[in-house]
Amino acid sequence: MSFITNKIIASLALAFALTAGMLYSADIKLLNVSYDPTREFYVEINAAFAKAWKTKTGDNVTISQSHDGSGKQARSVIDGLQADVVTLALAYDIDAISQRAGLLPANWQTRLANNSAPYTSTIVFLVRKGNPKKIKDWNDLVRPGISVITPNPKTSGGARWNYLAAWGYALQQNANNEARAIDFVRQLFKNVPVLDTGARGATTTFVQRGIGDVLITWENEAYLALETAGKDKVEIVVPSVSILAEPPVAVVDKVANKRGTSVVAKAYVDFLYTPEGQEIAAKHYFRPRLKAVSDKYASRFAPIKMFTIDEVFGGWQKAQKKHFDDGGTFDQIYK
Amino acid sequence: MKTSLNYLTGFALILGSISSSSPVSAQTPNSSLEARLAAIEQRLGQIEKQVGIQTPGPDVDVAERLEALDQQLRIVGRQRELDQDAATAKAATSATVDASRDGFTIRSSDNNFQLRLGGYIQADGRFFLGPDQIDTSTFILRRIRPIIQGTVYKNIDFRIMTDFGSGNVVVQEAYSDLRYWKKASLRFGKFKSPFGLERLQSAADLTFVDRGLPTALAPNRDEGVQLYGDLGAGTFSYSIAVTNGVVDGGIIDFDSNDGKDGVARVFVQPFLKKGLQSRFSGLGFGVAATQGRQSGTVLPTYKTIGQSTIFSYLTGVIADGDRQRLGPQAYYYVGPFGVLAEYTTSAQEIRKAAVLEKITHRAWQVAGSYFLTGENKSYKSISPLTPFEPATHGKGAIELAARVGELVFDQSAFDLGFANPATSVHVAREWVAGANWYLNRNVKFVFDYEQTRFTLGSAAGNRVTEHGLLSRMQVAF
Repeated sequence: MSFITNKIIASLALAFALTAGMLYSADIKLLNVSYDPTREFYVEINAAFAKAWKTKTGDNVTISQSHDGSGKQARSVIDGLQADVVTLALAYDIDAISQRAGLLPANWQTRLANNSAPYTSTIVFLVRKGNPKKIKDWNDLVRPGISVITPNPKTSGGARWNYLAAWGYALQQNANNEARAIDFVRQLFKNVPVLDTGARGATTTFVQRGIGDVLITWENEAYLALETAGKDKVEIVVPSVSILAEPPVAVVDKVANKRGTSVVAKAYVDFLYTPEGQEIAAKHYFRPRLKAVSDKYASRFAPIKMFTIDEVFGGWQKAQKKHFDDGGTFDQIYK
Repeated sequence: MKTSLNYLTGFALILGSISSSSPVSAQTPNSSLEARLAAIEQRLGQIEKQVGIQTPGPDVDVAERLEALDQQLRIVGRQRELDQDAATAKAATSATVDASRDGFTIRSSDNNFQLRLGGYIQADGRFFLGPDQIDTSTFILRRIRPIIQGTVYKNIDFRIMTDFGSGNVVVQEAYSDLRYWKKASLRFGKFKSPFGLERLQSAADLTFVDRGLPTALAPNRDEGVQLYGDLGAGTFSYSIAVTNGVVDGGIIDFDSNDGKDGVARVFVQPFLKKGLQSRFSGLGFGVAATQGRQSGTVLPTYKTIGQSTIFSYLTGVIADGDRQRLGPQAYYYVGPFGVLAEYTTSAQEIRKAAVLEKITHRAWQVAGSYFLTGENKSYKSISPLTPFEPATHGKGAIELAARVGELVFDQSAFDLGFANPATSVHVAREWVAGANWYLNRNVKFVFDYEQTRFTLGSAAGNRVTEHGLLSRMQVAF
């Protein structure tokens, strides 16, 4: 067989293999329903995962994102939004999807490491450049004349973290006196002139609309605002104590099974725990769980004393019922 | 709150005027600026009381007070933005309520759930002229039909139509459609048997007060299941049904025997193209057939427009065997002109004691109409070019119409003693001339003169010719 003939056969074989590969590679679509300030983070995660999945399986995967207040997003999924994956602000919202719609099992949080929260965050303050109102800690937020921006805890997961962080601070300052704590958050919310439905909306109110002296927000959202608005406009204030926010992720089993995306959806949430996923999280100011990555990016995150929701509130179910369900403390203090 | 927002928005303009007039204010004494600011604050104070917010009092320095005012205005602006977002989000998920000439509709934002209320009322006057008329002249509420129809989830429709006309209560239609594929939908319940061309036309869309003679041989509403669909964007439509099997012109709510009818109909509109009108796009033709085996059932009687019986079987005569119907049919609508024609045969094996015979009745009709006012005639209802409106000289639509037809009862029915020629006619021949006045899409008046001649049907020979002046006022929505 001549050299030319061999080359023709090899070329044909290669063309056949490529064609077969194209024919057999699947196009998969996932929908990730997330909360407000994760837009930029998941854009990068999605691209990285799609690339990794293509390399591993040869299949193309396209991930669509949906963002709004965490509670609002949970309701959308309960009402039929076909989410393969949910990445929400707090576990209670995924619990609601499990309990009210039965789309994933009650033990969903045990299926992944770290309570299914691949990264953490906390709540900090964003103030105007130079901190003209001299806001240093939570007790500064209840001073008369201080205008505080925070979203509505009824619709926003971030707002619920904000509320509980303030409540936890007040308990610590007042020897766990609940009456003092409720007075504290009442006073704080008297200083809130407008309630957005989500964290991103609250950032818009503070940064773009120029309303308020301080924005209570996610740590990652504060850094993003700092980057987009500019260090000459706003600055971050880290309070003396805050709450450890654990935004969880989960595959929505019934939707993924129905759409035939279970395997990819599982791989997608697993990807968040990989060194690559953790690096991206750190880059977007989410605190990584993986020690190596955490150490590498330690300088990006201010040291802060944090309490957990389990320690102070006995978990999300109790916290939700006591503070945010109809007739809860939030309804009592904000009328 | 809204009023307060308006106040504050107006206030923004005042504040704007302060800043825009800054060159002047630079030369204005501080006391003047203070006075203006105090006036503004006084007004704002009133508004704040309503809104429930506070700004620093006059004891705070000017810069701080201006800053506070600026914040309040920003808050009002942002609140309005959020309210608008909420309203937009709510509108996107809220149900809408529509009222139009087609009835009243409530629909979900995604159109997956709909409820439509409609109906029509036909108030008739029938007057029979000349001596020895058998039919009774009367005013009559011929049809009172509220219609409830809707969509229960995206592709599942339902329709319920009850008739309270003529003092009776009849569930005319109650069915559900599964419309997952336009080419093959499934209907089950009580519905019009897919056979007669004029029978399938809504009673609200008829050109004349009553349908022509072939409809007397066609099945009316029946119960069963039907597969139907359109192919080629409506150029070819088909229906296949299995039904209880009603007698000619009949409507029933349950079956009295185990025999069922198969019904099939195809209808072609070869020149129908969506969005393209041509000389022949209004041409349609087809054929329908039924096949069944009916035994021991009550046989039909046949009536005139005046509702007096012109043919009935004698006592002891029963259905006992196959029943077939065949109905070629066509219409052609071009501009203001329309013609509709159909021919129907209905054959049933009938027994009286030991005598068994297939009896075949035949009927045909040709009906034409023309709009003097230029509207385009169609199989469905029309909208006048200028609805009747005295104030604007709108005269509505005026249509002239005529029809001829014949119904021939099988001679064998008389020869074999199934029917009595002294009480049942052998042939009925009718002609009708009419004029219709459409006030608008929803209201019309119909005036017909009909004459029907009979062969046999009387002890003296032929039944007296029927002369009827028929009128109708119809309100449909």
